[in-house]
Amino acid sequence: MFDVKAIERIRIVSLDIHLISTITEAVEVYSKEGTYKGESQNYVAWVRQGETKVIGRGEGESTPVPSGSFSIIEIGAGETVALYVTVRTSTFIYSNGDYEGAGKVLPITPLIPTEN
Amino acid sequence: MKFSPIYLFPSIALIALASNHDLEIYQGIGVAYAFGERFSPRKFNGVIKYQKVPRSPLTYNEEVENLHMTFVGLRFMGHYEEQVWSNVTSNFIENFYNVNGGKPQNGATIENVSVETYVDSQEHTEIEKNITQIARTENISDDFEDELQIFYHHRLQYDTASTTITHAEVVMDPFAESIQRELYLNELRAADPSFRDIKYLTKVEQEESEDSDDDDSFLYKILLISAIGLFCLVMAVFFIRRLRRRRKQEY
Repeated sequence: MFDVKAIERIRIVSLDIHLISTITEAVEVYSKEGTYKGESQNYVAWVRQGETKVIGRGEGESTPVPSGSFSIIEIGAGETVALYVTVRTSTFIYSNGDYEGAGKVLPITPLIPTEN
Repeated sequence: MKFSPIYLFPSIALIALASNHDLEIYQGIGVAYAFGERFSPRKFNGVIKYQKVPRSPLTYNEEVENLHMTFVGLRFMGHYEEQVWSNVTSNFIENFYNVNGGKPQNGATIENVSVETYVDSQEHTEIEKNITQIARTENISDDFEDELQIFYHHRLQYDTASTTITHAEVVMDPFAESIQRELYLNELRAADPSFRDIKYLTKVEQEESEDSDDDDSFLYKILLISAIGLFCLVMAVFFIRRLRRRRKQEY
């Protein structure tokens, strides 16, 4: 769950996520206008944009959540939208104590414009 | 501890995790499915793929005023009929304009069509900017048992990013065509039998009507003055003749 602030008006059409799982997972995408802060457990404030099943590619690999699997999320210039990307079936275990299990960091160039 | 997808622990707080000229991603938290246990802070460890939308503000943002002063003769409407009227009006106009309205002749894309609807009854004037929210929520006095007059008109605003389109190139609002008003009436009647008594729905050119009233009053004045003048002339001739007769008789 994190905030995205648009500098220019954009439409989020797809995502890549990082799953440790290598089996089929149900991914859900939620969004909310404004920041997630203070609303992270208030499901009423969130809009469920879609759900899809993906096959996890495991740690160190990006798992695509393709376009069409959730509604396009439009963010106006200067506006902030919170995203909550989650997997319904918690089939993997994450270590909260260190980086083990987190896999490699995907390149911090996560902003890939796609052609209109 | 279970949660997904994978987030990374942040190393620097309150700094954009990633950014470019179009957007910024900030660090967040991990939240177990669904809206469950929180783990803070976390960094999104993924990719956002997006499309860039043409820049606003739009270069063409001119109001296209098509004022339809429309007269509807209705019986007194109760709350239910008012709601039906609102719904039908909303749906009809929204669908109508989506299908037929707001297309510039040069093919440029209309970014947005907003509709302001002005609703005037005998008691009030109401403006609703969103056509889907037309509502007449006030209580209408029972004094208007026979007929309720409702006036409404619409102002459309077309927004487009085109730099070449001109005001004249936007297709004018076709709701003025009588056939469209008939379609609206038919829908209204179909929605609720209580609207079968709608007497008429006609376009009223208010300014022209006012001008017409002025013209009529001017004509009346001319006629009145002419009549008085003619009366005076007849009376004058009558008295002159009478005076001449008396003089002849005296001689």
